[in-house]
Amino acid sequence: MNLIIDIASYICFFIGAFALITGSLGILRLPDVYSRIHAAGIIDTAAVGFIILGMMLQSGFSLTSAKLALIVLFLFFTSPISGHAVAMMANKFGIKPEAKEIKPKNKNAGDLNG
Amino acid sequence: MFNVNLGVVNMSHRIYLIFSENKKMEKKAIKKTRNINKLSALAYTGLMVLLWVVLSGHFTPLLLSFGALSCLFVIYMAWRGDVLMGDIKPEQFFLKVPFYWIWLALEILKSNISTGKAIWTNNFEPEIFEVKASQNSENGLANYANSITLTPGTVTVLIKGNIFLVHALTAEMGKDVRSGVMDKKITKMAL
Amino acid sequence: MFALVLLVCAICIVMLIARAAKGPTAFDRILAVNCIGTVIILGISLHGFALGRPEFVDISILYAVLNFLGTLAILRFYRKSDVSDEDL
Repeated sequence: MNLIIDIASYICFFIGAFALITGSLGILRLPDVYSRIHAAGIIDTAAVGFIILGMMLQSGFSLTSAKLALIVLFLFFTSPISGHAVAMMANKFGIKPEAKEIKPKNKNAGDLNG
Repeated sequence: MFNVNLGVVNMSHRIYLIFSENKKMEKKAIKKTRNINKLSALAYTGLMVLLWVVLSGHFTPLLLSFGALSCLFVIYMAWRGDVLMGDIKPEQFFLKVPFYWIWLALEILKSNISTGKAIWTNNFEPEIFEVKASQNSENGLANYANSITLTPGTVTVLIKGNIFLVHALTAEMGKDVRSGVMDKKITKMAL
Repeated sequence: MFALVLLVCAICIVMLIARAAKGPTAFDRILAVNCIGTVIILGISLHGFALGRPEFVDISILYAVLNFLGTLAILRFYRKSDVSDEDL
């Protein structure tokens, strides 16, 4: 039983470390701020989630697990807020995204620039 | 140097104003607190007690009573300052939101895989578009915007009323957001 | 195993510092520093587990709170004059 839990947590660590490398590589590689926020999102969700899941499996059913769950909950609530804040301020300071603009087909959506 | 001094003077003047106007504001604040949802106050107290127990980890009567006292003090301050939001419905929250979170976790996993693929193969075409949210409460709108940003691959850049400006990493993810599956799910929760 | 994951964290922090140093705009730097904070949260708890003292988790909760508040504070008190013409 112990061995199974160990193997499961090691698999979680492996996936989390891979996500960590993917996210940092994305932050290095992607072209502009708005795209880099997506890479930061990988670190904030997949890497944190899987590595902390691995640690929770290691510590078993205890107070430490509850604290780790609290960290995950807190990060999942706050990371989109900081990502959105960075994107919003970048937009406010006039940094243009290198992106294709898609106009809405129906006229329901008004334009934000007006 | 002069600038710094001016700033300090300005700040102290503002603080003085806050304190001197306090007496007048007090009566208004007390009148406002009547339409507070009692259930949400109870839910907040429960959450704070849970947080105290988890973070302290001690179960002696002395420390538990300190915890209860500080929780009551905080909820009293929030009640008096009228920052307890009356529009949150805890019964709705605990019945429906956990199921939504499970669905959201699966969605996050899927979009993580596709974003990782896009990064490793260096194959992405960012697009930016507007999306209309169909929620009519502020909580629902905040929930939708946060859910879009939390899934890697899509970021809410700007919010104006109920129209979001969304940046997506690949065309596929943009199509996912525009199809409005998440929007309908959150509207159905009626937060 | 914990040591290996810590090594990966260190490599990632080096990559993120490269972005924070290079970043063409100030927002890239803020984003990179925010991510370094997230990786350090993981690093603190992993370090505690590697030493057999899981109490370090408390410190990482505190670090998560400070990281979030710091990012928002920097963005909040940002003005147009703080971004030089070269940056944009």
